[in-house]
Amino acid sequence: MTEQFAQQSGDPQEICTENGIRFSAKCSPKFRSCLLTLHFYVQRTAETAPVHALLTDLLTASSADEPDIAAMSLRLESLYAADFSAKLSLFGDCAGLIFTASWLDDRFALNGEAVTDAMLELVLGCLLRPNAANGAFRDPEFRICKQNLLDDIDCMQNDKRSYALKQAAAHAYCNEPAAIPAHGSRKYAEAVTAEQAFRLWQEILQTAPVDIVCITPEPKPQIAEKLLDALQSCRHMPVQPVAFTSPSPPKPEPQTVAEDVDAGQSKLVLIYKYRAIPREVLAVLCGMLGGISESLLFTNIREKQGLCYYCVLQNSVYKHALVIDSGMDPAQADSVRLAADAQIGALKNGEFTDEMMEQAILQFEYQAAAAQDAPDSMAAVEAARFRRSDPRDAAALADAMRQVTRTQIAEAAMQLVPDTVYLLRAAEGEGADPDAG
Amino acid sequence: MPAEITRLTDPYTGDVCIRMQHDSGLEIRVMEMPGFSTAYAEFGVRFGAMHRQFRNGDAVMTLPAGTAHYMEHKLFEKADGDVSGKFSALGAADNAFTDYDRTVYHFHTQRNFGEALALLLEFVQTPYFTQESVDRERSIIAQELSEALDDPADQVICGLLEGMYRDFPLHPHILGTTDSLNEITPELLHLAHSMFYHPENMVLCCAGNVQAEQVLAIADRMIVPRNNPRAVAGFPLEPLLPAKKRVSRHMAVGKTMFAIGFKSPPASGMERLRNSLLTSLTADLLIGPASPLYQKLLADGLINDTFSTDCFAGEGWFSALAEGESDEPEAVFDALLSEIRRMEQNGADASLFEILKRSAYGDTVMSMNHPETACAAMLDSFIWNRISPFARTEVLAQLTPDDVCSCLRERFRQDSICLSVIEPNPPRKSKQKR
Repeated sequence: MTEQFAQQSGDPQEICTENGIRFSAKCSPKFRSCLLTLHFYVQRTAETAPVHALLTDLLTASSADEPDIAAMSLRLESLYAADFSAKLSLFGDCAGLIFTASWLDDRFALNGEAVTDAMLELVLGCLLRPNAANGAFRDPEFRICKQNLLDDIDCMQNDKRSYALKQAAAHAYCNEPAAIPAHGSRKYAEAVTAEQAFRLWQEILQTAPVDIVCITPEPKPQIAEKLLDALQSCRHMPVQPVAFTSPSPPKPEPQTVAEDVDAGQSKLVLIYKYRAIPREVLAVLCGMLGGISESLLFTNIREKQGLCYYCVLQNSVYKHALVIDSGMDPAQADSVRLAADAQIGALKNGEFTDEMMEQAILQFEYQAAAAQDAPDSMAAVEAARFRRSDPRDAAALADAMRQVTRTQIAEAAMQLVPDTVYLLRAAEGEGADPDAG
Repeated sequence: MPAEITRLTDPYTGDVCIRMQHDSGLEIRVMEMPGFSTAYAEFGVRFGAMHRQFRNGDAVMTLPAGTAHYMEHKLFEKADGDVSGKFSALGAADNAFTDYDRTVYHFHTQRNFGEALALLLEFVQTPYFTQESVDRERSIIAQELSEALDDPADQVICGLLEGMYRDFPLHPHILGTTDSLNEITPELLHLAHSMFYHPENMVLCCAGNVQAEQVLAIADRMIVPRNNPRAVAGFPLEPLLPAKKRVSRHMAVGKTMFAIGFKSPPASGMERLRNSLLTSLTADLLIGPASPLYQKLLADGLINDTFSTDCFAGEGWFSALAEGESDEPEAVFDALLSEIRRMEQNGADASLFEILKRSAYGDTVMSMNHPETACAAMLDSFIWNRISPFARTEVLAQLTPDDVCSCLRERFRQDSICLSVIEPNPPRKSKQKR
């Protein structure tokens, strides 16, 4: 073991290599499990988007060592319900292939097995020795994973809420990479070959910026040592940098799009864009608008006016956009849109209380504390810190939130420009015809 | 003060659950978790969607479908507004959920735990139902129901329960129906609250950065003793066999969704826990991700990665489930039946059985390592007839491959099956306007 990788105490460990790999390890003895996440960041195009999605499935379903899905499942079950899975997440115009391994700490293995070492081998095997031959992923696993991807694309409308959000993003970020759905389109997904997927993965291994976060109950220096040695041995080309923050320009006039769906409830997504709002101001504003229990959206639109079942806020931080998403009776869609605009108006006019500002800060502080009580959220916070250029920790940000003034909130709300109104309009038709036999 | 304090210890992890029987009849369960900075509390009542009939003196009362869930919504509203604002002011976040056999109110916080706990106990015990507020809530719940009816994953299971259970109140939906919501009145909610929200029918669970002594002191102060008897719920006798063999409907889905259910006799307490664990293991042996059949069905394109199995059991019902997406659900159904017959003849793979047991152990140990999941385990085990939250690992250790054979005979009978299918709507043109 090289001294560089040694982590003997419970203190956080951070390593940045010259070839674009950042590694962070944190320990907390209260945990009984270990968690390792690897983020490979990539730029996206319509052609590569489905390949990225496919790779997350392909690389975790099997490997050269565990050559089919059943063998991989058996191996993970034998390691006390260990898990190795991956997902594709969008960060502005780029994407992260996020691989996550979690496993029971060695202390609790019934027969003294070295679960950590076994999982490390399994993860490295999947990433560096995939189930491939002659420059292509092997069948039938490639065929199975590709069919999973096509089914995911075909079934996008099953979950109408997330479908509406994806469609709204496609319109709001038109002609930007963020408009491409996470799984890509069916046309490009159908065209993906086993050779193309393998080639792209080799390229990612060599050139993608990689952030690794490891959360364990006690120091496990072998994780940094083996992972960094193995990943660095693949890095023979210049790193392809990615820019997470890519503000989306507001449209000259708000765009309204409606689509009909056979359903009982309509979904409305409203996207507002802004130029630049300081992080602490945005955190207080978002808390009051949609984060706290008595937020403006929930209290005024659902509880007082009864216009919808849900009305929630998301902050698309890398695109500089706020997204309000709501589900309502089809007849109420216009009223919900007007009511949502009115809540933004309330912020502009200073129609909020100091108590609401304080509640937004308390909620932020709770979420920061809660994140330290679970390995997955602890790792997510650490990965987000890597992505952000802001070096402040949660306590420093909470302090900054306490300095935010009412005027700053009103000025920030003034920046919110309505950009896209997307309505998934319920039109109950031939569906829902019970046919028992 | 409590009549009895018991310390339950997990032999594998050393976790301790402090169980206190309060004078009021309320059971309190606490797990102090050193090192955690947040705390989680759940106040649960054995009153859920299935509690539709109960005895009130000599009379048998029937509640409209969805009453328990309606109550959950309305308890948050008080004369001075929604109680959630008070939790927010304390830095806590509150919520609630209703299931078939329970309603649970909960909060989590990093600070002001004592104040938030007192607020939780107070608001759940203090109904404030006015005609105006009950009427206003109706449209919100109707919207929630509308969303659920649009969700094919929800509807495929609802269809299965309708097919499997003729009389037992696992249907209609937990939220009720548009018609039943119209029958719910403030008077009905008051009656149900007085009968079911009785300390003897409730449990308080706290975990994380909490102290049992503090929890007990707050319960002493806040729990209101009740003079009236608690509700005794009644349930119809349910036939052993499913009401229907197949249920199908059309919805806006991209691919056919299906759920297969095996109905079997209910079990109670430790016997239900044992049977649930055994049924889950048996389902995994038959068609879980590590099984040869799963791999074959994937390779043949008959299932995709949405496929999963589960054991769905409670006081009065028990079933094994398998669900997923497939263009040929009947072919999956036939393959599963063939595998059951093969395993009945040849016995279970003993080596795979041991691996799956080890996996279930690991899963249990990891799941108790968070205040929220620890609370849920304590509450679950109370609802399951007040058993220990640590009983799972002990029962698991005693299971053998021979038990799988008896499980196949009792829990995977070929005459007890129902198939629920959601098929895609016929194609129609999508309209898009700008």
